[in-house]
Amino acid sequence: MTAPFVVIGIGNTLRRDDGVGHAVVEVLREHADPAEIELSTCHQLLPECVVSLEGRRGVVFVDATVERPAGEIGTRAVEADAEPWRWGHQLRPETVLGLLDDTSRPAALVVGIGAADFDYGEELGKPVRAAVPAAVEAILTWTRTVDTTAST
Amino acid sequence: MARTVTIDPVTRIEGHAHITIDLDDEGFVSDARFHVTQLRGFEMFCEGRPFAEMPSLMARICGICPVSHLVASSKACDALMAVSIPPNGARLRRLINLAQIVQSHALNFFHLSSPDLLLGMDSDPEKRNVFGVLAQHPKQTKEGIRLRAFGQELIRTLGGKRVHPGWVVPGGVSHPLEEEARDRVLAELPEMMVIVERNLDWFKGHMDGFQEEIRSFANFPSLFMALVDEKGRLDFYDGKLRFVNAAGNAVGDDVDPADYARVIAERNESDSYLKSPYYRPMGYPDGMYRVGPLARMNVVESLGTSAADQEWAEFQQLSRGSVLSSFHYHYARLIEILYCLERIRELLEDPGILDPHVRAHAEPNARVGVGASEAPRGTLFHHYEIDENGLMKKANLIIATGHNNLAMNRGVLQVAKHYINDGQVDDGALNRVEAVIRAFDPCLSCSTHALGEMPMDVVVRDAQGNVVDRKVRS
Repeated sequence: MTAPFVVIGIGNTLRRDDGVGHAVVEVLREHADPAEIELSTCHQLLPECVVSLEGRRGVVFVDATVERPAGEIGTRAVEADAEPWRWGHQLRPETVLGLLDDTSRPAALVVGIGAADFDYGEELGKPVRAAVPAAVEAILTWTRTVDTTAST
Repeated sequence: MARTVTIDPVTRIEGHAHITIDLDDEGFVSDARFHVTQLRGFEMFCEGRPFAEMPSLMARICGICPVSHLVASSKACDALMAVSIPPNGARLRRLINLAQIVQSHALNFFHLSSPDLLLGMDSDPEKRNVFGVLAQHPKQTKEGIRLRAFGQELIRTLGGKRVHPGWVVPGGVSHPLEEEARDRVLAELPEMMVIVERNLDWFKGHMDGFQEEIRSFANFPSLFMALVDEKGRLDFYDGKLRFVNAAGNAVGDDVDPADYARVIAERNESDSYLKSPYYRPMGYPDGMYRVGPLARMNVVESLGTSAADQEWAEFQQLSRGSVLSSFHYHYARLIEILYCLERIRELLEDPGILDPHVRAHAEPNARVGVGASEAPRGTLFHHYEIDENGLMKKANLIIATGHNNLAMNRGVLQVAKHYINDGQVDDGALNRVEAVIRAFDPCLSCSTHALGEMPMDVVVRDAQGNVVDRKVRS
């Protein structure tokens, strides 16, 4: 039975804060019902994601962002982008959704966690690590409400 | 006026390369070359490392086919330890190697080559990619993605992760397969069989639309090489080397892979980091041979599984001797996926697949070890020499893509001459020059390994393109 929601943690765990998406997914394992929420991680989004999202009610992309101060969490709804895309090694969430047809496209949310330290290493910086519980809560709340309109 | 057309980079392949096409004064192709522009150097920086580290180090050569390097490297280490690995260690290695071939072949056919096959060689280059195919042929493309994901998931199930698993080790594998995981993989196989059979039917039904490409895509006599088992059947994990000629006759047979240097010589080219091996008894360049799916179809006496053997028999009807057109690498690739799925089922249904004894342990007992296996793109050799402390003294790697280098270069020239005339160079012609390379499915990240000091040909040109200086190191 396919879970209605999927959460994808994106990033490189060998580049410190870039691995925060994976860290969020690991904490989610302790809180999420596997029948409701499937958890996965990847370095970057690939065409394979398209197949795994078909027919879901919702998908959450969790990633580090440099557009916010370290540890600050922002969420935004994702709209499908139908523009041609030629770079097969790295897709944006918008592109992944654009490759799904209207009938199988899930609601989608990006959870961006402000990150600052991308040096070699597996440890998250202190503010980023501290943000993980709040990111988990934001994801669980969204899956209960599937509110795709809010952007904070 | 003579000029050179450059395709840079070559797209939808693994790694970095460019192609140069020289036109003469009348605008006809006088030469064409495939230049591989990246160098890795793994042989050098593994020197001094403990030999047991080699599988994990060598797996980092490639993110597409790390499993192939794990298998060949571990086999070389088995030879250094002079051990016979437990039967189930060998079964499980075979299993992960088959999974690797499924995912890699699916990647080439559906992600990299299907834009040419489904959208057309002359289609809009802006949309001639996997996303364009997904938009126009969503069902077939998603099936391809599912097939690849199946192979990747089987690798993860066995090895713990999809890319660079450390599970294949000297002496066997690190841990056995769980019953629940076996059952999960078995349950998925019927769907995968349907996908590959449907796509085989599609390919055979559309070959008529590619007759010109079939005639011109590296379609010439050459030798073909692959590993075969004791009955002459396809064997991706073990066996002896066999060379057949264009007529389909064996010219070299029953060669122990450890003796590869007796039949394979290597050569450097001045314009590429890709080595050019050739069949030593016939010399350079007459000893040009091809490896990989097409070669395997030509070399074997049967595949060894029922559905794949039926497809192979039909494939053989293409020619009375060896099938020579490299366009049929695509066809052969699909047949091999079918074979792999059947073999995966056979292995998983063998009660011994759950045997917990999967690894032999030993200290080094030999100074030289060679490991060979069939990777997705062809035969892969890892050759190691160690000192008395088990530290690496020397490594030589001969990668599948390298075996094909001479044929790829001749194929580029053949396609360029066929499609470029009177100086007219359009996008469709250039795409076909790239597409013949894609048919071979080169993995350049894997295959650029130095053979001693590289020959260099440095040409300095002024702003008008005139040669003002040239230095050659041969």
